[in-house]
Amino acid sequence: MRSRKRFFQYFFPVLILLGIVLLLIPLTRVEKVPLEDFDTARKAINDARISRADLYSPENFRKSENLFDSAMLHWQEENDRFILRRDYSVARYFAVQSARYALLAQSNARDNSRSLPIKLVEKIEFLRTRLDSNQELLSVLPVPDQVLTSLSRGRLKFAEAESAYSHGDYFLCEDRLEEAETSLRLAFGSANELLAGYFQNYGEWQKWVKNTIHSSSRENSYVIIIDKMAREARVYRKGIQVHSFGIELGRNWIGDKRFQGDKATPEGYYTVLEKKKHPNTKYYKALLLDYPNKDDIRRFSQDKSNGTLPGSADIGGHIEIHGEGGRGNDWTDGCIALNNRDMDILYNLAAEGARVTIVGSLKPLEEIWKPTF
Amino acid sequence: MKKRIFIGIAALMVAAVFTGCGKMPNAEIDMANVAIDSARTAGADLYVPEAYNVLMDSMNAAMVLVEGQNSKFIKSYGEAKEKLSQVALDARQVMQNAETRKEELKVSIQKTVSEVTALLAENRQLIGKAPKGKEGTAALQAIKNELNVIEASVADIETMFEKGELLDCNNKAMAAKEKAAAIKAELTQVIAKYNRARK
Repeated sequence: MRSRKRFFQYFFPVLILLGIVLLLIPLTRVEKVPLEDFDTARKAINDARISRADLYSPENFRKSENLFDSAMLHWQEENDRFILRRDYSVARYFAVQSARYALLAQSNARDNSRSLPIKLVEKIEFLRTRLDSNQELLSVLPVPDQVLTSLSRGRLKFAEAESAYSHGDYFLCEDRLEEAETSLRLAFGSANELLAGYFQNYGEWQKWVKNTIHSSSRENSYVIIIDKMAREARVYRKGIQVHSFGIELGRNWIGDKRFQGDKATPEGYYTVLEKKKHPNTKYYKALLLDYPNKDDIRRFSQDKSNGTLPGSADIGGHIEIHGEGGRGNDWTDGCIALNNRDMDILYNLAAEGARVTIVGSLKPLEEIWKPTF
Repeated sequence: MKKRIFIGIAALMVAAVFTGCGKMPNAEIDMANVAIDSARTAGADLYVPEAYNVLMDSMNAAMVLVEGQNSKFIKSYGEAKEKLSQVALDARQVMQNAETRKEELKVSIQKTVSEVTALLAENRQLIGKAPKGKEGTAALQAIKNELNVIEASVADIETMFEKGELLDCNNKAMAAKEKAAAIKAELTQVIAKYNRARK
């Protein structure tokens, strides 16, 4: 009885205190919980997300998120264990790594978000320059429909890219620029090929022009030089240019005329055979040229004999410099059209027998076409 | 008497320990997750990205809070529960905002597409009025090509609209409108020039 009393008097309070101490020991473990590391990682991920690291540095950002998930999982697993057996070191490690990758992603995102718009502006300018500087020539080049479609598609994609850029959607802009470039590359490639082939005759054209201008000095007469590429008719006298007129040609103006109906304007040395006025011409006034000349006939016969032209092909004729032009497009069957005011001047200057030299271009290709792609 | 006092103290301590151990807020976590999933499904990450980012961070913060309490001997989930409920509420709001933004975009796209369609029709009519025959054929062919490409783009826009790719769709529609308007201006100019030359 006395020992029981002693138990309650001395040992029981000691036991209670011991129990309290035992209960408090696990509480000391709370300080080792990796709360701070998790908060750091979470904040770093949030900052990275605000910097659009999900777009600008997706790999690092994804890795940081995955590491954070792993850290949370390890934390949960440790929390499921008995309090004294918990070990947060792995969870802490993942959280720290997560923060590290988030910071890396944020830093990359900042760099990329600064450099991408600059890169895009450069690309936009590059494509715009190519489109603008070649626009005029591209719009009149006789290329197949599929090339025109490719060009149209490229232009539309380019407009989409510009629109995306103006809304700050840089990744969409980047995609659209790539699509635009692909389509434009196709169209420009075809134009490059066509022009490069055409300008193989440039040396010859230069020679013709030089001879013609020289003859104007020698014969003291008016001569006409037609620059198909520039859509220009130049008039020379005594070796000096005295007039320049805008012209329109046939739809298929690149290359020499080969047969009737090819909508091509012939190239070479010609002379004015006859001067005609309404009603002898339906195009106001006209200078009839001596197409086909000897060279044209020889080439035509050669093409027929080697089979590049069918036997039924006709060489054609009736090529004129005439009025009713100024329509803003190439509409003739191979003739050269001027507006009536200019035609009046030219008609008065050119005598029957006047030299008319028709060339592809007076300027070399590199001065009129930017083929870079 | 002393015995009763000791037993009372012990009982109070045990009660204090156990009343401190709150229940893990699983229901709130599930609710918040479901709400966030719905917001994501509604396209919140695309259409209201800033709000969605805040939401994701709030959810992470709440989960850190929950796990922080799980690590403790004496747990209290009151704050975490409150945060999770707030996340669920915010997620619903973000979803609503995403839906509203989508609706606005849809209306804008539909308006732009009808404008493009009208411009295309106008342009086709203008082509009808433009010089026929050999005169201007090449120029008109080029314009027809451009119109065909825009028409194909409108078809793409409609497919994208159905798929719900509204941001890209909107951008495409605006570019198509700009192009169609430019062609209209070009055609009008060509026709005027042609008419002037014929007078």
